[in-house]
Amino acid sequence: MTRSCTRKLLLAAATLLAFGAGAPDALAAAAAAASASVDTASTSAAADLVANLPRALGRMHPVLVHFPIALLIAGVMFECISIVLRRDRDRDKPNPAALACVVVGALGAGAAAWAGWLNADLESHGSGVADLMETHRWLGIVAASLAGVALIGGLIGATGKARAMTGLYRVTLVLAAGVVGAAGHWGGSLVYGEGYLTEALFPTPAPEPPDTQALLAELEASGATLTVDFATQIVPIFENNCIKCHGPTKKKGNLRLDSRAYAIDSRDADEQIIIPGDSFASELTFRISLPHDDEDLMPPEGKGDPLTPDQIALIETWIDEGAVWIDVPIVAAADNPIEGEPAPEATAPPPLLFDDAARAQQAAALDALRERGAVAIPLTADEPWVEVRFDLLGESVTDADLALLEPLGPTLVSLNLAGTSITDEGVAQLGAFARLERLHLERTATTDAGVEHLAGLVQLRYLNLYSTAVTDAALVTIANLSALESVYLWQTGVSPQAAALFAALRPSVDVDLGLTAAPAQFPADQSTETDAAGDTDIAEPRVVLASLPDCCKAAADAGGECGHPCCVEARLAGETCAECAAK
Amino acid sequence: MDPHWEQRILDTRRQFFRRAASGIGAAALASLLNPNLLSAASNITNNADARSPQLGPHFVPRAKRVIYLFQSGAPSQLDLFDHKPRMREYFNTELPESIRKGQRLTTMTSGQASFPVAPTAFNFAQHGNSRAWVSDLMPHTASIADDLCFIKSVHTDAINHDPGITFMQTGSQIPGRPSMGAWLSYGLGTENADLPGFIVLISQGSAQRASQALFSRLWGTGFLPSEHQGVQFRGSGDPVLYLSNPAGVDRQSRRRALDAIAKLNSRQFQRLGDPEINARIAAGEMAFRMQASVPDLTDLSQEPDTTFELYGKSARTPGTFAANCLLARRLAERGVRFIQLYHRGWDQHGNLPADIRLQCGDTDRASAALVIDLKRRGLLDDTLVVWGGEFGRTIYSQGALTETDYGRDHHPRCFTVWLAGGGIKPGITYGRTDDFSYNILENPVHVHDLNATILHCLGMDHTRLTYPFQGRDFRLTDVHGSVVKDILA
Repeated sequence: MTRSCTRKLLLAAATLLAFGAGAPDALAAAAAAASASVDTASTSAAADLVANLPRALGRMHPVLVHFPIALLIAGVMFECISIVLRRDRDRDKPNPAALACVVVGALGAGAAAWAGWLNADLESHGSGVADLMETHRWLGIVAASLAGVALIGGLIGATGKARAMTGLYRVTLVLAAGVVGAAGHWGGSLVYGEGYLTEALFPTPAPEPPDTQALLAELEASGATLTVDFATQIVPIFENNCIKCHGPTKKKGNLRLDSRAYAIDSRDADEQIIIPGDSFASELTFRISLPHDDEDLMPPEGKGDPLTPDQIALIETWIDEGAVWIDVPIVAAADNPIEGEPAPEATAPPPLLFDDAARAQQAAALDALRERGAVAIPLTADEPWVEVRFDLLGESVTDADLALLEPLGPTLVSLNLAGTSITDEGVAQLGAFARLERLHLERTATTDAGVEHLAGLVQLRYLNLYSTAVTDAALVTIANLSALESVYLWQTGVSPQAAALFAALRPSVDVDLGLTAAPAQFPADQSTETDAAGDTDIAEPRVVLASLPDCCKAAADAGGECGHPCCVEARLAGETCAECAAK
Repeated sequence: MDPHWEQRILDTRRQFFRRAASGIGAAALASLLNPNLLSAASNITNNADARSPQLGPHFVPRAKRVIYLFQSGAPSQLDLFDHKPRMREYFNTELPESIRKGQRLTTMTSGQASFPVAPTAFNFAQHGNSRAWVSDLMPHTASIADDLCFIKSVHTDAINHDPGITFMQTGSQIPGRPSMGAWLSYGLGTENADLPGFIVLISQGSAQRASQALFSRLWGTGFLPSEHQGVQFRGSGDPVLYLSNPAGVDRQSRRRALDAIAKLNSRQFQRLGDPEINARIAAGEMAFRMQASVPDLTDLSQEPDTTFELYGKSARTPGTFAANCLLARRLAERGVRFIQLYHRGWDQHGNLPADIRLQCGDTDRASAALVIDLKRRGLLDDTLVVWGGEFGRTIYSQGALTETDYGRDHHPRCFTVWLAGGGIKPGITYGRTDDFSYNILENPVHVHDLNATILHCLGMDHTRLTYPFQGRDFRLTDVHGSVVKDILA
C-alpha cells in the first residue's frame, strides 16, 4: 500500500467520525430544508424519509459492533501466532492475515462508534443507565480511535520501511482489542442489565421471603388499617409498568421489583428506593412523579406511558402505610412466563386480565351497542368496568339484543333494562355476568322464574324490580344474593309481610316497597292540596317477629344476619326452618 | 385578519425550534407555508390542548345525576329547620354585640336603630328515627326526614342575591364562570343524546309578585364550550320554543336543511377553527332530536292519578314547582345529568310568617314527593337531590317586630341545606349554629365545600375538573373547597 492511500483512509475515517457527531442536527436541518422548498404532500413523504434516516442508521449499531469485536480480537490472535512462529523475514511486518482483520475491524469500529453515537442521542434509553451509557460511549470512541491508530501503524509497517510503526501497530492493536471487548461488555449491560454475565456463573441466592402471615398478624395487632391492597392495587401497576425492565430478565439499574426480597431486603441502606412509611423520601415515588419531560422519569420515554396521578397516589399511600409487601407472583404484563421458570400459580379469584386484546374486544362490543342505540360507557376512565343502558330505547329492546352484551363478559357491572320488552328468557342470560353490581329490570315482564336465574350474581348490590310481576317467591332467590344492598319492589306482587320478614332476616338490605309514612303530626298547612295526603300514604306496621326462629331473631336484634337462607324459605312456606329448630 | 391565523404565525422562535428539534420541524414548516395542511387537527390543539382533563369520572361515582331544588331569595333557616327554642326568652331584646361582632349588614338594615331578636312564630318537632328538627311549615318534608341529610352550617361569602346565587352556582360572585351543571356536563358528558345534559326549570313563588331576578348566565357555560350551557324549559306553552315544525315543513325537509347548514358551518370551521361554530352545529342537531324527545318527555297523560296525588294537584299546572319536580323525575329517568330547578319568592324582608307559609305551600309537598318518587323507583340511589337557597336570614327583625309579624334580612354566616340520595348519608344532621343561628359552632361547610362534595358524589375530583382559560386552569371551586367526608355514605 502506498502512503497516499493511507492518507485517504485516514481522512475518510476522520470525516466519518466528524459527520457522525454532528449528524442528527445536520440531517434534521437537511430534512427541514427539503420540506421548506416544497409544500405538497408527496414531497413531504420524502422529507420524512430523510428525517428518519439518522434514526435508521443509528439502529445499525447492534449489527456493526460485531465486526470490530470479532475481527480485532482475531487480529491479535493471528499476530500472536505469527510472533510465536518467528519467521524472521516477517518479524518487522504485520502478519498479513492479522492486517486484513484489522482493516475491516477498524473500519467496522469507526462505523459502529458513529452509529452508536447517533443511537445514544436519538433512541430513548433508561435514565438510570446514564453512567453506563457514558462509559460505553467513551470506551467505544477510544476503541475506534485505537483501532484506527493500529490500522495506520499496520499499513505503514506493512511497507517494511518503518519497524517502529509495526511496534505501534502491535501495541495499539492489543489495546484496541481489550478496549473494544470492554466497550462490548458495557454495551451488553445496557441492553441486558448489569450483572447479566456474572449472574449466570454466580447466581445471587434469592433472599428468604419474609413471613407474610406473620407480617399480616403483626399489622392486625397494631390496629392499623390499610386502605391500599398491595396484591390487587399495587401489583398490577408494577406488572404493567415496571417489571419488564426491573424484573428477572433485565434488572436495569440493578433493580428488581418482582419480589420484596430484591426490591427492599437485599438492597443496601443507601440504595433503598422504597422507605416504608415515607413516600416523600422514597426514590421510587420521586422518579415516577417527575415532570413528563424529565430525563429521570420512570417509566422512561419509549418504555411506557408515565403513571397516572391515581396510580402515583396509590403507590404513595401504599408506602406511607408501611409498604406492606405480600409475596404474590409479579410478572411483567402480557409477557409469557419466562422459560425455565414455573408459571405463577393462578390465585383465586383470578384478577381480571384486561390486556390490549381484551380492551379492543370491549371497544368493539361498546361500539356495537352504541350502534344499536344503547348507552354504553366505561364507569371510569382507567378501569375496565362498563355500564350499559337499554332503557332509553324502551320497548324496542328484546331478548335478542342482549346478545350484544356477551363480549363484555365480566367487565359489565351495571345494566339498565328498565321498560324494555325483555322476558324471563332474556333475564336468564344475565346470570352469566358474574360481576354485575347494578341491575335494572323495572317495568319489564320479569317474573319469579326469571329472578331465579340471577342466583349466581354474587356481586349484585342493586336490584330494581318495581312494576314487575314478581311475588314473594322471588324473595327466596333475592335473599341469597350475598352482596345485595337494596332491592326495589314497588308495584309488585310482593306482600308487605314477606318484605318485612325479609328485612328482618337481611337487615343490611334496604327493601323498598314504595310505601310512605303519612305526614300526620301537623295540622294541615294552608296549601290547597291537603285532601289527598291520607289516601295515598299507606302506613305499614312492621310485622311482629315473635314467630321467628331464635337464631334469626337474635341475629336480627344484634343488627346482623342469621346467615340462614333456609329461614327465609321456611318462613315463606309457612314452616319452621329445620336447621334453626335443631338449635 | 383571522385571529387564529395570527396566533399560528405568532409562534415564538423558541416554540418553533422546540418543535423542529422534536422531529416535527418539517411538518411545522410545511404548515406555516400551507396552513390548510393541519387545519383539520386544529380543533384538537385549539385551547384545550394536552392539558384538558381526562373526561369521564375520576373514580366510580355514587350519583349519576343531580336535581338541584334551588330556593331563590334565601329561605329562612330559623323558621324551617334551625330550631332555636331559647330565642323565645329573647323576644324583642337587642341582638348582643358578642354575637354580631360588628359583622357587615346589608344596607337594608345597616341603618336600623335596633336589632330586635325575632323568634320564629312556628312550632318545631323532631321527626323520624333521625329525630331531625323540622318546623310545622313543612309536614311533608318532615315525613321524609330519615332520607335527608340536613347541613345546618353552610356559609357563603356573598350578602346579596345575585352575587349569592352566582357564587352558589359558579363558585365566584363575579359573573362569567361556568355553572355547576355546565361543569358536570363538560366533565361527565350526557347519557341521553336526545336531551341536553343540563336543563333548567323555573317556577314563581306565591309569596312575592316582585321576586329576585334570575339571569340566564346562572346556567351559562362561561368559558367552557357552549354546548354545555343549560337549556331552560319554559313554564307555559311549548316547553321549548319552535319545537313543532311550521306548517308545510316536514321532518325530512328539516333534516335536509340542517344538513346543508351544517355543511356550510363546518366549511367555515375548517377556515376559522372557532369552536363556537361546532357548538352551533351541535345545537342544531340537539334541537332536531329534541323535536322528537321533548313531546314524549312533557306528555303527562301516561302518569297515573296516584302521581298527582303524591305531588299535589298543582303538578298538573305547567310551570309550578310541583310540575317542575315531576318533570325533574321524568328527566332523571331519561338520564339527564343536571336538572336545575329555581323556585322564586323566598326573599322575606317583611311579612315573613304569611309569605313563608305560601312558599312552603308551593314547595314542601312536591319536594318530598320527588324524593319519595325517586326512592320507590330506585332512582334516589344514584340521583343526588339538593335543596337550599343562596344564604340564610337574620335572627333580628327587619322592620317592626310583633308576635306574629316580622321580617328577616340576608344572613350569609349560616343557613340550612338538605341533600338526599346519591352517596349522601341519609337521616343525619350535620353542623351546629349558636343559639341565635348567627354563627357556626361546629363543622362549618363553605359553599366551595358543598360544591366539592357534590362533584365528589358524581365521581369527580373537584381539584382535577379543570379548564385552561386566560393562562391558568379554572375549576368550580377555584382554589378552595374540601369534600365533606362526614356526610358521605
